[in-house]
Amino acid sequence: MTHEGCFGRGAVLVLINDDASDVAVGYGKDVKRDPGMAARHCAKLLSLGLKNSKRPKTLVFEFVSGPTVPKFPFLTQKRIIRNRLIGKLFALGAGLFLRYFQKGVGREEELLEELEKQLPNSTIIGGSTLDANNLISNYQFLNRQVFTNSVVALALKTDHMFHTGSGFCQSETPVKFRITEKIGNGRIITKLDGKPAAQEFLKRSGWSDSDLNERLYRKTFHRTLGFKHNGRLYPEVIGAIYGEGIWLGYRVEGDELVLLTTSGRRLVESVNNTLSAFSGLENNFGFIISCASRMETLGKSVYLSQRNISLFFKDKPFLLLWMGGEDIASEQMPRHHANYCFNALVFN
Amino acid sequence: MSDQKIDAIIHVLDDLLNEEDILATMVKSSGVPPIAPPTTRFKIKNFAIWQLINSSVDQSLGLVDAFYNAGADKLYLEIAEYEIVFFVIDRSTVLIAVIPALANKGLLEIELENARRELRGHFRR
Repeated sequence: MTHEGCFGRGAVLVLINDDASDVAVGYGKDVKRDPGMAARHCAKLLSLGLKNSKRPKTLVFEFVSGPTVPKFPFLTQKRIIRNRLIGKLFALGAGLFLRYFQKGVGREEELLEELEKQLPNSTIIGGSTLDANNLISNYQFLNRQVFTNSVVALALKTDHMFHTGSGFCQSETPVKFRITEKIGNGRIITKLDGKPAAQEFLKRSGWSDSDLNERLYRKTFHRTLGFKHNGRLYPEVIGAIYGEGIWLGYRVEGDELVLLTTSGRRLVESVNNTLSAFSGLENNFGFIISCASRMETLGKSVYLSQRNISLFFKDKPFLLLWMGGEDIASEQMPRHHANYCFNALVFN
Repeated sequence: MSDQKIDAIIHVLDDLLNEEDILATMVKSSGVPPIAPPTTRFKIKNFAIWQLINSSVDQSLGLVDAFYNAGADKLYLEIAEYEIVFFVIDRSTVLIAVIPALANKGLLEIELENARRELRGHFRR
């Protein structure tokens, strides 16, 4: 999304001519197999590229390979399979698929954690690359190279002032679940309150089995799961339901999940609320990462947000990217990888 | 309508067909034949559905006309494994697209909205 409109395909190019920044690029491969190693390799390249810079602030834009729906032999790529036996097999095979075929969850939260550790005192903003929201494949680009399962990043050492903000539109309902069994490093929930997870989630969300279909992201946007950690809410995209296992986008911290709710109106309002944090400043360029599910939910009404953002930035440029997971870490915003978010970085 | 304008409209519709999940598309104004790219470009497997849309599209225009002053903007019709999307261009003209029932509609809506804006430009000229 730019001043010019909203686009679901094609390419958007930003050209910046800037004498007040030094630039470096980096990458790390095999994120799904070893996100720590990928982050360290990427951070090393960025640090090397900027080692002679004396500018005071460091800003990192990172784009990481997002989750992909695993393709199991003899089965099509599906988000909903209610057969319990297949569900169990999928859960057992998930780790192997991740390690050997690099298909499955993105492990972006692990990558962001390590990247922040390697690049202390940096502001990091970015997210998970994806396709047309089908989660079949995704690519990362760096100079003339094309990667999969990788992270690519651009770092600036800069004299510019910038601020960050973050918002989401979900709010907690009174419905809470105690996680009594989770596997896959805390990303697959198999039991809630001692009962099979998918069944319990559907029952207490007021949904029937037939309500769920391959349009899972769109359907669960209005009623999804999340958890609280260090006083912050982490909304989760429900990536798949295999048997009784609920496959979430990233690792759940703690053992409590809460049912979250939202509406299209609140979705638009959350954008305005986030941007209001920058009002009163001279905003020269906005870089925004927004969850693709927000776009998927709003459809053509995303132009309502576009109008508001465009009015906010007036004649100054902005670029909004829809991504499969949103990362932010800054002095103002403690490290946060989540879904359904609207993260903004504004140069002042 | 000039051949040049028809070509421009077909170009917009043909570009929409580059979207994997836009299976067929046309523009229909009341009282004139539909404008559509060559059917060889369509990906719809059940062609009977397309013929049904073709033969009944004037009725959808009646519906648009009835609700136009109230702000009619788009219509969705789910038929078997397809959804038929009607984006209102003006009181007597609609953009029609056939998409799979389980497609990610949000993304497609943005592309259809962009096409509608372009088509409105052509119809106003």
